[in-house]
Amino acid sequence: MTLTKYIEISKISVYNSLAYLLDFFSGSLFIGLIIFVFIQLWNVVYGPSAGLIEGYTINMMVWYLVLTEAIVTSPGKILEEIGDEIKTGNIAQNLNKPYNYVGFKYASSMARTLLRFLITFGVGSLVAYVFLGGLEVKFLTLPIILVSVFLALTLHFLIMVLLGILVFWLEDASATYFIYQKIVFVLGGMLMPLEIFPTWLEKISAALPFSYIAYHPAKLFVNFQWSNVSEVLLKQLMWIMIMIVIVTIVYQICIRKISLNGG
Amino acid sequence: MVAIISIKNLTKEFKTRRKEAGLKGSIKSIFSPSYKLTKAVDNVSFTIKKGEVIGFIGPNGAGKSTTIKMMSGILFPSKGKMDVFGYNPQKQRKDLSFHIGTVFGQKPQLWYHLPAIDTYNLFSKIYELDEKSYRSRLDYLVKLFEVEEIIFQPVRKLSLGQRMRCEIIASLLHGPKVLFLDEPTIGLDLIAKKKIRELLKRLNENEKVTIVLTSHDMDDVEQICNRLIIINEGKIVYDGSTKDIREKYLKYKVIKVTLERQVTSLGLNLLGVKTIENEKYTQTLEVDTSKQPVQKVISQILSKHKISDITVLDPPIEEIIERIFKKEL
Amino acid sequence: MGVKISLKNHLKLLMEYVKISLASAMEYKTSFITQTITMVINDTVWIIFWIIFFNKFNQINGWTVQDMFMLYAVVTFSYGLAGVFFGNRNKIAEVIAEGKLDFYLSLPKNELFHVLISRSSWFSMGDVVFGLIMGIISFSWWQWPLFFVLSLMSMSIIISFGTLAGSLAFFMGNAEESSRNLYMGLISFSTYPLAVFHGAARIILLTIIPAGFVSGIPVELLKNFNLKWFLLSLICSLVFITISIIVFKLGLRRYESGNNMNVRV
Repeated sequence: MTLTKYIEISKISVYNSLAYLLDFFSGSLFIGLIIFVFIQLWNVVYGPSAGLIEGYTINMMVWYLVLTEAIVTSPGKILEEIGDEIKTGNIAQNLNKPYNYVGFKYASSMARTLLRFLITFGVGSLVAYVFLGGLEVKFLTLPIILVSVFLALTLHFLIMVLLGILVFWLEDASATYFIYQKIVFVLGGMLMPLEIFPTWLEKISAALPFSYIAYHPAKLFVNFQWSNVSEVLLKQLMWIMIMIVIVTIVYQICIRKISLNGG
Repeated sequence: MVAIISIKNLTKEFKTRRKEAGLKGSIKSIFSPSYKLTKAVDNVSFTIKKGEVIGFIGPNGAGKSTTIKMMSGILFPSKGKMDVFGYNPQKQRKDLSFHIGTVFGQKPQLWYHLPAIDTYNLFSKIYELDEKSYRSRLDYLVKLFEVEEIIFQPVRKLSLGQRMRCEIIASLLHGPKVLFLDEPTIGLDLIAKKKIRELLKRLNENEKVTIVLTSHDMDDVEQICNRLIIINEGKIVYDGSTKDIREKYLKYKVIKVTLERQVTSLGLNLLGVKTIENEKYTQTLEVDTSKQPVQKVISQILSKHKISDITVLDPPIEEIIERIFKKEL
Repeated sequence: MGVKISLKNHLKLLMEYVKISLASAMEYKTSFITQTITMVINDTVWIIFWIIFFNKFNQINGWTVQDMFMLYAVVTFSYGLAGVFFGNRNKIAEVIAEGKLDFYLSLPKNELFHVLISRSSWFSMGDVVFGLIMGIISFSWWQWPLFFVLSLMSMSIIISFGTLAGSLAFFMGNAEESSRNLYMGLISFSTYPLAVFHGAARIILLTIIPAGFVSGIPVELLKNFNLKWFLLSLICSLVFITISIIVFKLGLRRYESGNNMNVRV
């Protein structure tokens, strides 16, 4: 129908300018809701005396979550996107282009991710500040924290790319993402700091890369210790290196299979 | 024969949002939208008799689908009166639904991953058909549409033409007296289109089912409809027999030939043949069929040239409408 | 031939759709099984989170890890039922926006009911399974009948809330995102102990975002039955069912009059 055609055209132009922002905001509102729920939860746990739990004050505990939520949720649907390209065989189109596929994805998604991170962190901070209160952070430490967050986002990205490629064998992209998300929630320490875990679980978590996405950068943020900085940043870099190697290998294997079978 | 559907002064207006250009316009339209009334259907009247096969044609957006939707009670008219089998579609949509079948070419109703038979069983429950009459009805339709094997294969494995045949059966299970088809041949190849036309014709002859179909393909309508309603910008520009239209406006055919070798002219010496386009390898001719049969033109081309491709087309619907306007004015 | 909008015929239709959805799921057995298992794993991870949490803090406002098991039994079972039998509960905005309503409008069944039942979510199967597992862990035999009744009430609230959120698409521009967030909001709130919410938050969760009636109150009732709160739960689900039907009807009227400007016809 002509009519709807014009509605569509005007809609598209509105969306092009506003869609991204609106979409981001509405996603972040959901994060705000989770922060609110956890403020209530921690309020009850800390009780009126509001002391320390494993070295965290209630404000540290909540602001910890503000940062981990923002890191974990801001990359969006990278895993599903790549999984889709793998399953449809569209990934083959990138083979004859003069760029590295993963590098290209990284560049194009990191801009979106950072913007979304800022908005999500902003909404989360607002909720935390209004319903609980602020957090003391030394201005000087901010650049280091930002570097750690950036490395965390990169590591998060690489793991999702790896899983996205593995969809070639795992079949179901949304199921894969679902499970990965839950692993980061718990083993990555997104919902609560690893100190609260029983020791055996804390050990498992320490041996895996997921805590370098959520727990470590967030701990630097709420409880900055100079003695931790170098170890956290180096371990983050190490995991990034390892992931780059694995992604490269798996990508090559997958591409070979796709070009052999024709998608 | 008595009219089973009568439509009087039917009008449908839509409110559309207007927007100024650019980002500023986008924002403005969110906060203070300005509306424009568009008439999708404009004061349309007609009646349909039992057993008629009617083609609704017109360019995209002319108001064909809107009219069909109003007749089946899905959309409510802004003005006008409708009587479909004595029902008022706006008020008695559910009662009416037992008497009509609808097929929307672009909105499949069959379950994609399942054989069509599963959807048929579901539809028999939706219409609360009793098991025995449903079975015999299904047997009859399956034979009529020649899909005995096909209905047991998952729909996703069928060709588009086979799918459409199965879609139409789904809308006929409850024995409707009228079948509305919105673009039933869209996206089909020539052979599949021909098959659908044949089957609809057979259905009409066997059961006296009234068929109303929309199309923007003149061929569709010319082959099976005995009556034609041409609609443009919401208004009826023609309502009459297909024969009339064929004689007055469809006497032109367009022949497109692609030659193996480049020529400056086809060198035909025939009355009523006009070259309208002359490109390197492709020549487009317009043939006035009242003066010259198409077969003769083709056979002459074949005898004189080596060709790699040849197609015979009707002039596009827009051109026919334009011609109708020219004659009338 | 008159139109019988009888409950019995609509329940028959529901069973027909369950059958055809299952047949469709069986066409993709691996996918169906993967999604079921994924959901069980997902729910298990959350329970592990709460086990760790209560292992550290013992109880919060009287809620123990056993209560959390019960809460998860009610929440996953009722969400699962809603997803299996009324799979379009969270997809109504999409159905409207994609112009798919025409199909339901042309058929002789209640439009809202028909839209809701014509899809089945395979992920939800995992929720049903997990809910039953949690139930087996937490309930004595005499609690089961009450558990089923309360789950049906929770399910009605979930479906009605989804319908209300989805019906936004009738009235405003692109509502898919907002309706999804509203629905997710209800899910999220109902997976935390009601006991942590106070004041305004508690009032909201017992009224406009009825997550309290979806999970918290049923858990309280399963622990200590209380007629007053049982009746309040019942009233809550009836009120939400009624409002959702009315709002959907109002929206449908807009749709039929063609003033719904956001439909891709």
